[in-house]
Amino acid sequence: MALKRVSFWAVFAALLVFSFFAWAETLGEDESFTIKVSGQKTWGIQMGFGDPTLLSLQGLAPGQLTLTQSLWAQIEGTVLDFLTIKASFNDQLGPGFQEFLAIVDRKPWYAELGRFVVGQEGDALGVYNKKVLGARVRAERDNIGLSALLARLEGISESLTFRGTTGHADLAFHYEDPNQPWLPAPYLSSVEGLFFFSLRLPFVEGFSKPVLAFRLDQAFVQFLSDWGLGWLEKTVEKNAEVELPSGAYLVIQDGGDVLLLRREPKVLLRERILELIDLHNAALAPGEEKKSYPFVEGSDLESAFLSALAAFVELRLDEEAYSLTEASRHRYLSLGETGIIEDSLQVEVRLPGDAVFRDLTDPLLSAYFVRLFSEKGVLRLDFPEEFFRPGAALRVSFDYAREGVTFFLGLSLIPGSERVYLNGQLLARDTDYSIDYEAGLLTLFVTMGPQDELRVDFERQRGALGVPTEYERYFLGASLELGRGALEVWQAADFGSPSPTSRTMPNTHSLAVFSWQGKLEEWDYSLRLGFSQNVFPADDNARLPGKNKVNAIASVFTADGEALVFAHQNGITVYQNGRFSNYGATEGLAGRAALSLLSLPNRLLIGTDSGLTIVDLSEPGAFGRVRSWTRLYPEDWNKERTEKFQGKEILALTMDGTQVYMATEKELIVAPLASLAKPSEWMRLGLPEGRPIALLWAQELYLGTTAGLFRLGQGGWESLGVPGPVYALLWLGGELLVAGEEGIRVLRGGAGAGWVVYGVSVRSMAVWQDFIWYTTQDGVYREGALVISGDFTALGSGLQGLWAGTKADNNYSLELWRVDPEPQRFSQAQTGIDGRDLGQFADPPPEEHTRMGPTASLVLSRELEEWELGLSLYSRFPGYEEIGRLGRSDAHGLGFTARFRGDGALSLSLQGWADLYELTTRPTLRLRGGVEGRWQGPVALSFTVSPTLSGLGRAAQLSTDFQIGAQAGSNPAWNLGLSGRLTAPEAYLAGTVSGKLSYQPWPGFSLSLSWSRPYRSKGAAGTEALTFTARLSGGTSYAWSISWEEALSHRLDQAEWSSSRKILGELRLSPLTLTVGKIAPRISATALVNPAEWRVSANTTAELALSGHNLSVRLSTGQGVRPATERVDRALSLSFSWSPKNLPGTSLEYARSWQILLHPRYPPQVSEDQSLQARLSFEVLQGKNELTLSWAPSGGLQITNRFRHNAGFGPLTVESNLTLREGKVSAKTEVEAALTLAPQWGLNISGGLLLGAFPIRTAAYLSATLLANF
Amino acid sequence: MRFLLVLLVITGFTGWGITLDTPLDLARPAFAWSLLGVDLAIPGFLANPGALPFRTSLDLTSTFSSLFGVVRIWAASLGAPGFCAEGILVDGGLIEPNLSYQVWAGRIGMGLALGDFGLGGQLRILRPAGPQALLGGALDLGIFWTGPVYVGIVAESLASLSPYPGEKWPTDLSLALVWQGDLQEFLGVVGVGFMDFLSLPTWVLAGALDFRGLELALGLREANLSFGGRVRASWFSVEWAFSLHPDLPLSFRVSFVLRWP
Repeated sequence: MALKRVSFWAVFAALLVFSFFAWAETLGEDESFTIKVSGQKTWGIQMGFGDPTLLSLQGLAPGQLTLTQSLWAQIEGTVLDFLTIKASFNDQLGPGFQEFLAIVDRKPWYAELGRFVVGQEGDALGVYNKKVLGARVRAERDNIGLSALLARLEGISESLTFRGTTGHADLAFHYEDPNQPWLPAPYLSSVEGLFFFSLRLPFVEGFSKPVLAFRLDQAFVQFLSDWGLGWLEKTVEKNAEVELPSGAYLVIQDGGDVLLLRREPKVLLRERILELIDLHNAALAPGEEKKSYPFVEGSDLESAFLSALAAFVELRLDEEAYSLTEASRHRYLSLGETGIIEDSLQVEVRLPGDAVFRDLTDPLLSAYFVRLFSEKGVLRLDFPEEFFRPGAALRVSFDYAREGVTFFLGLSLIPGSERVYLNGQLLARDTDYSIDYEAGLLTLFVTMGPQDELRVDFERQRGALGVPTEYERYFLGASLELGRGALEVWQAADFGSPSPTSRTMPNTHSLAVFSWQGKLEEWDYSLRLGFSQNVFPADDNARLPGKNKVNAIASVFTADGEALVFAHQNGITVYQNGRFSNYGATEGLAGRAALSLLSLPNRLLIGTDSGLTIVDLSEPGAFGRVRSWTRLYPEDWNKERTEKFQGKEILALTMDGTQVYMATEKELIVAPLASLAKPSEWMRLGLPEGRPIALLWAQELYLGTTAGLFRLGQGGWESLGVPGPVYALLWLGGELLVAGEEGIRVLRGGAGAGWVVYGVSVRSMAVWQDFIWYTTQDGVYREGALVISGDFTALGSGLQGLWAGTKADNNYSLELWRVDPEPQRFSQAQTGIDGRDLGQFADPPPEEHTRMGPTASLVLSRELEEWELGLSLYSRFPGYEEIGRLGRSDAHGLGFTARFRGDGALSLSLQGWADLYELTTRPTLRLRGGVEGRWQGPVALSFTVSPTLSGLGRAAQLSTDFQIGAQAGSNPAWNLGLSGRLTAPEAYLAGTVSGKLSYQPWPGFSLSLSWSRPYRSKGAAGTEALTFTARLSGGTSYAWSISWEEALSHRLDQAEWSSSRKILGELRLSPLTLTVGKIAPRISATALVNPAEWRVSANTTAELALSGHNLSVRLSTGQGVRPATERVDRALSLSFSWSPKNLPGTSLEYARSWQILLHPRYPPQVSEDQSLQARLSFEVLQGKNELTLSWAPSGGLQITNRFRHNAGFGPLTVESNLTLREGKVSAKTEVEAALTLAPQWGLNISGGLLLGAFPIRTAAYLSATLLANF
Repeated sequence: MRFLLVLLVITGFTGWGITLDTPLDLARPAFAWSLLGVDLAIPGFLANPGALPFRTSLDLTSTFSSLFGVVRIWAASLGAPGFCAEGILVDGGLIEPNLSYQVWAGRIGMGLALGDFGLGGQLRILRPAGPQALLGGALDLGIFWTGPVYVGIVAESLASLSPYPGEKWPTDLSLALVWQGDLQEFLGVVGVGFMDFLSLPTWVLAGALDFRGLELALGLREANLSFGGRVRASWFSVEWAFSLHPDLPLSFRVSFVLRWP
């Protein structure tokens, strides 16, 4: 890979150098040099003094010099008539926003260097508007063209499709987490559903506010004390209640109001405790020790605490209290979207123990019912209780109404990379849509109907906030054009080699295309042949994770009793009281892999791949307490040391009673037991040959390495003549047992004394019940007899038994065993140990992850009188993929099109296609046709029929889409339409009949009636809708309008219609001339009635133009009623503004509003708001002064005065600001002068004073900025 | 985490670790940066004190670079015939309360012309200000020869004092050779360099074209490719450089140079 990289860059450099020097011979003609450079450079310095809080608002710290600078430049020009430079730099923006392009244009050469765009629509590449950074060269002479390209790709192609006014979602709910089946599914995707409370009183929006409250009694105080949180008592007393955030719950009506928790109760409780701890810490005096959350999140201890805490917490709502323990589950699922279209809902169920998903109509599911609350996006399950067990799952798919014209594409979009298609038509930016690249929002200006499809292809930045990538990606290609033919070769490749922790392989995607165009008799033809090879494509480039294995087993004694600890590549697993718990780096380990264990009185040492962890076992629930864990990283070992430790992996641990010995990959560390947590007192000794594997203290220190067995003596390490690798050491009855590749050797007095077992590689040993037990790749043995088969890697005793751990198999299944007495197996589902070693990955073979395939196409076209004829043949194998385009297909076929383009009113088109799909797997033939006609007469008629016959050779399906329409313009205007789909063999017909009639009896009066009715031969009937609209407007000296919209709808299976109406009226009187001026009043009113709510509102506005003054007064009022909840809301607002004509910039604005909420059960809720703003502008001291006063109850009072004066040296600005809010005063005065030093040089000097009260604080700052304009 | 990220950015970008070289290399003006070390043998650049006597103008250069939004580098350098001085601030900002990463560095160099040879020396100073305040420095020697081929040799850290106890700054040697050619309407420069060949030897290949007002440069240092340019006006010039590294995202820097005459 390194050689490939070097040669790649060498070729690139040579290409460029050659390109430039190739022009040398043509120079010497007219030389010209016109380069325009413009921009600005600034250097700034700032310094602040005084109160740090006040200065932080200005971005300064007291006494600290802050440097600022900026440079932006635009460069454009031509050199020597053939070299053009365009550049735009701004050093405040990232590299992606810098533009640079050098163009060399000198026949026959053309070259670009810098940032440019590749790809045109229709190119074999499938790339478009792709912004790259690189070089491109082209040479053209006569009919021959040669080009080459080398560039760095800056984005990753993505595509999002939005259909009509609906979105689509597919969800899955499980009992267990599908990726980690030993863990329960995350709360929102758990098949058990949301926790809910059936409310005893109706929930009224705006009045009912759920509150989480602690039950403050003696038992709670004792509870806090028992859990070591007695210090939190006072804080809880002062903050016993907190309103539940609106996003944490929702309420539905299901035979009464039901409150559903969007967050799990234990999460709410944990967050509440964390908030209370923050409040406690905020109230501490300086110097007092701050507290932190004492539990390891997700640990059994924390779970026990939160479960016990729930008994003291209530949900209070409308004078009712609900204990958190009352919450139920197994009923409601949140679908994550609202406005779900009922007819689109599909539900499939997988029963526990079953492997397949079944539709709800399956006879086995006769007792299973669902009900959809479409507006809230909640699905109610009425399932038998026995469903909610491990293995249960649910799949739900649905469409939902998407509101608005804004589409979220995600962050880090590459500017200019998007292509937006509406029904296949490319839209223009700023005309048809706008896009905010920073926020990732696309706003559509064109109307999108229910049947329309919007597709957005774009690129997202690689890395940073964009798509995480492990490699840089480059793009190179070359093409040769000979007359009408062309040969192109392209490659996009990831650079870099995978590291041991890389999760993906680098991709190389190569493409070759040959094309030829010409004319054969009357036919124009275009032939294209292509081939692509994609090695490790994006959806098939995962590296193979390593296999997890158990490295060590140790027994420890905690305050809760004995526990067994298993160390493995992903952390440790603790078995205690019949339960397994897992702990990793997040919980307290210094590294990812736990390599060695040492059990000490009240402590456990864990050697990891990145340091040492000490767990204090003296407290109950030790593993679940944050303070029990101490991490010691290598940086911590080396603090205040002259002789540094070099290693970081602790491969083996042992102890001699007073000292702990730790073998790293670089040295032996000796740490006194009393100063384990003080690395400055540790000692460093060298190591013998080989990488350490096992350590043992038995009167002397023994070390087994990959090179052999060594003993530490007075003169250092001495070899004991045992070849390596040595996997384990054991001291038994004065003899040293050494486990290695050849078996278990016995040493007595340092000399060989036979073998326990010979001829087999032994990984670990233990003495249990007076027998020597050992593990090999084949199993666990007891002195030669196989006890359990398997690939075992560790042995240990504890909990009155002998235990063994394995290495994961090819399916990443890792097991723990209690070997003796009574062998018992613990599966992954019980232990929760991930069988994959996610810290090590191996390369998969490229040949198994390579896709390649050809494509070919031939297009013929001609004109025959009034017909345009076309014929095309294509073949595309699944291995063929275009660079930069997503998706593949295995499709082959031919088709024809015929268009009649007469001069008359009739237009007709015919088309037919025969496609063969999945040729290489399950061939399926599909025939498609289409007839489309349009006739323009007094009535415009149109029809479309598109039959499709698919699945020939298997289960054939016929589906025909049809549409017939008639419309007439003028007055009255009408249209009638019938659309639908007919399918066979299971006959199904569905569609919509619709019509619209518009009539304008006279100008100013318009009527319209629209109607739609779905029809279908089976399934949900749908909804029929009828809308009537009348608009009347008129007036000569005044203008008035009134509109009435009545919408009726009913489900076809129900006779009852529901209606809603909207009435709008507006009156605009012509300006009346008064003695003092003119007044132009406007009145409008709106009434809305629908089954859920009715609302009336009115607005009155009057604009007065008095002599010398402009006055505007606005009054609006409204009332709304929700009959179902008996909720009434009333609103009144008044606003007034005035500005004098002879004082531009002067104005006065005042606004006041009231809102009243009424309900028979609650006292009225009144809220009001007001604001005042006054602005006065006048000339004084040869300058302009602007005084602004603004006041609002929520924002306080703010007075700002700004004075600007053009002094001899430049503009001078003095701005003062005074703010009074919530009893606190702050003030700021800033003086800024802009000095012109020279024609292109300026100096801005500013200084400011800051004041805050109460308490009184002051600060000041100075800044100077030098500018150079060029 | 931010502190580790700051360290990672600096070490990953330079590939040399936190040594005296680090801030000085990070702060190189854009056009010099694009030459990746071959500027040791080009008069007019500040990297080789032995080349200082062959400067013909007085330059004041201001450079700013932001490495991936994590570390910011300010530098101001003054170059005059026979003399140069440079001040640099590498600022990782406030990482945590009471923890910041900030390094000040500086350089003063002088050179003397002896016929076609130039001999010079420079003193480099490093002052890490955060998290701890420390001070260190080193003395370098530079030789320059303006023969048919320009040759630049710099011996770094002939004498040094590291601010980090126990850490040594070993002496290192870098060599560059440059050929200049007058290609009718523009000048061409091609050079090769052998950098740090006593510690981490790497080779460099770079070239530049001078269109007498516009210069474009391309440099290759193992897998690190950079290209840049500069535009010269009467009293100032603007320089830029892009750097592509196989393991790091694209980086960019721009410099502004004031010049007399």
